[in-house]
Amino acid sequence: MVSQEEITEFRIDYRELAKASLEEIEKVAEKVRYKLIPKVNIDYKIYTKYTPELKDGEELITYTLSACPYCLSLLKAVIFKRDGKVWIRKKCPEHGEFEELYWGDYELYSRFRKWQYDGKGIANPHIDLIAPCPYNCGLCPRHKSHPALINLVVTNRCDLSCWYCFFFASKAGYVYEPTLNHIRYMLRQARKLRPYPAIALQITGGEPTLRDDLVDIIHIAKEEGYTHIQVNTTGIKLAFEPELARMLREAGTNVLYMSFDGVTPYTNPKNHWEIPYVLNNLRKAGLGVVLVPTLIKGYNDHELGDMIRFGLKHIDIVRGVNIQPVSLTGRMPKKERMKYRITIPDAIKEIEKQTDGKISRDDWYPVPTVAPISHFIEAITGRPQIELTTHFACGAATYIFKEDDGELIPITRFVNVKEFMKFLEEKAQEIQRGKTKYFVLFEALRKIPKFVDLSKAPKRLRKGKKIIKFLYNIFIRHSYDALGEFHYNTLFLGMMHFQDLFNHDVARVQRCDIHYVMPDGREVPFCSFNVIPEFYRDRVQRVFSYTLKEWEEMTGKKLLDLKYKRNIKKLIEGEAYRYHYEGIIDVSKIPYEDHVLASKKFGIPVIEE
Amino acid sequence: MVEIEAIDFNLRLYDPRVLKMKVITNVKIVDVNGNIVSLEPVSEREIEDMDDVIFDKEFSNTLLITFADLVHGEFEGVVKLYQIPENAQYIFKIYSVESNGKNVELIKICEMKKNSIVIKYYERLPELKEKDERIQEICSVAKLREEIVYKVVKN
Repeated sequence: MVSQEEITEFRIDYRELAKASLEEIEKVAEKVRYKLIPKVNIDYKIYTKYTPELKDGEELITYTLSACPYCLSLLKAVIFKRDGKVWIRKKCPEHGEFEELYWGDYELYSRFRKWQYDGKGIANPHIDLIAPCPYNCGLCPRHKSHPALINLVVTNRCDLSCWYCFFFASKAGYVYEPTLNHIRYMLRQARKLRPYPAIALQITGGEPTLRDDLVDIIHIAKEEGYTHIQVNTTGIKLAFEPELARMLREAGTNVLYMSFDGVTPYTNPKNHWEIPYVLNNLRKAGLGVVLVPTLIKGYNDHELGDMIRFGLKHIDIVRGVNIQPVSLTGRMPKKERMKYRITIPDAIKEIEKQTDGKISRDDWYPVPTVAPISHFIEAITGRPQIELTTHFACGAATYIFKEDDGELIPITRFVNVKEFMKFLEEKAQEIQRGKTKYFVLFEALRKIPKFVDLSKAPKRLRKGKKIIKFLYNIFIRHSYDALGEFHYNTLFLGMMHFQDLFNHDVARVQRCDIHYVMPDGREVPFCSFNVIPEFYRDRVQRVFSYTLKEWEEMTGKKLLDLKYKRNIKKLIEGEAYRYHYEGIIDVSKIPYEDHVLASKKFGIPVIEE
Repeated sequence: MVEIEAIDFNLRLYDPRVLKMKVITNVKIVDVNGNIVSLEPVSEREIEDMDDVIFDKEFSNTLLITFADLVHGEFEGVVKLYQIPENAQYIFKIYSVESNGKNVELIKICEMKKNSIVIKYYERLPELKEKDERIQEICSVAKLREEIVYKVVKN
């Protein structure tokens, strides 16, 4: 049996593997993979015999499996309704009871749950089934959804040192930076999954723009068949290097996925000052961006409306705002967790309030709502389609059209989403039962206009019944050429609530469609990779890494020399800064000292020369 | 003598999705002479928490039902133990599945080797083809004669 010490001490000499061929990397990865799988009674225990009981005033929703936030052992948990909200409770025999807010609104929970569709699973899992869920990730045969987005960590180096992050190299104590050959192996490995291999890739870190060969990585991804590539970044480097934005765009990057925690220095000390310059450089390069706020109750939730208004103001380059309610890590007492905890329905209701109902709770739908579109097109074409079949509690989305006069029209106001999806699902099933496709297509042709209220549609889509033509093109002709025009002046609003160990639910893990490909060739759901880093992210990356000394010797660089120092004075004096925040906040009212303090408190030094 | 396990279960799920599923597993063997024999279990016991990996090996990839789903729903199930005769060449597990009122049959075929049982073929509910097409595939993958497969599946 492998001991805990053997696992924590085990690593390969990455300087040697860096010279290896694809075949050699594959051999090493396959050999290492099973060694790194968490082991029962070493890494975790199984305490599923105990079923948590309901208390007075609580109404059962369901039971599930979860992990102890402290010892990571497998526990049974109960999900229940109390005071109009949804809660999860579990009890570890070693560490006691944990109760957590699961979803802040039971009504929305019930409405969203109606949209749950499960996927087709994985026909050729990367790993055998040897341990309970969630200790067998890889993907294993249990997984219910195919990947929609693959994350590839290309470095754990970062030019920031945010106080809450333990991931970046100098704190982790090693540099994880896979070679181009290794990256090709990982990308190829992720593309092997059937029935539907991922076509969308997110290059992430650390800070991926710190890699000098980022453009080569994008080329490799294209060669390996990824058609959508996004780069997850703070944008800091892009604020100062317009050429980098152009090179990323030309290499094939479709969109940037950029951290954006608020509109003021107080709420977004990470990149508040740089964002205007990033947007300018992206405009020049013609590269779109999705803004990604991490939402923390009492910290930046009051700026939700402003964050959306900021996105709408820069709709020429901002493609979406994808809000991520915070995942709470570490040993945090319940009182403190409740102070920061915010869930998807809480955020949805805040947005309704802060936009005066222009974007209401009824405009939001859970991610799997769109599964019938895939089912219908697959039934018609006979070709497997990408299906978004995450757990309904994981994410939500809507789509906003901005009129020339500034009026906002969520898509749900002129498309009857509920009835349209119901229709598509029924027709897909009819074809599966043997009905002739042409009859179904004819019926679709006749009925599609009934799901659209032209009088409420954006003006440009009303003209010549353009919206109906778009829908015909997509659903009858399967032509997506006009989608670019359809997207003009639209803003995608999304939410994705990644789990933590307090609200952890195995049912969500098994349906996850955002995965990480690891250097040992396994592909792991987001909420295993990041929620149990001891077993996945950190354990595996450490094995395939350089020591800090090795990396510094090899590159002739010093890790700490790469840290970003901010010249706030220069940034706030620029025209771009004023222009981008104008109408959203009054930048003249923020004293310079406040800017400096916000940056320093966050961990980013300020310089003035 | 080699022993294998098979599982029957009833499941009702309300969260995260509504599902009513009943599965009965029948075990048949094809012996070295090509005879088909239906086997009866030698013992039965209720499914317990410790059966999670066994259950998931049997159903997670084929029916997309996992032990976690059992925890989520109302469920009852038994683990049946079968003894495989020494002259068995192939083991057929035939799963009669009733899923939200729809009936299907899934097949898994294992070949007896000297020291192990090797899975030669299995079917997945989300990608189930027409029966004739499946039988052709079974014959080609498991190297079995078509009339034997027809007999096992139809009888």
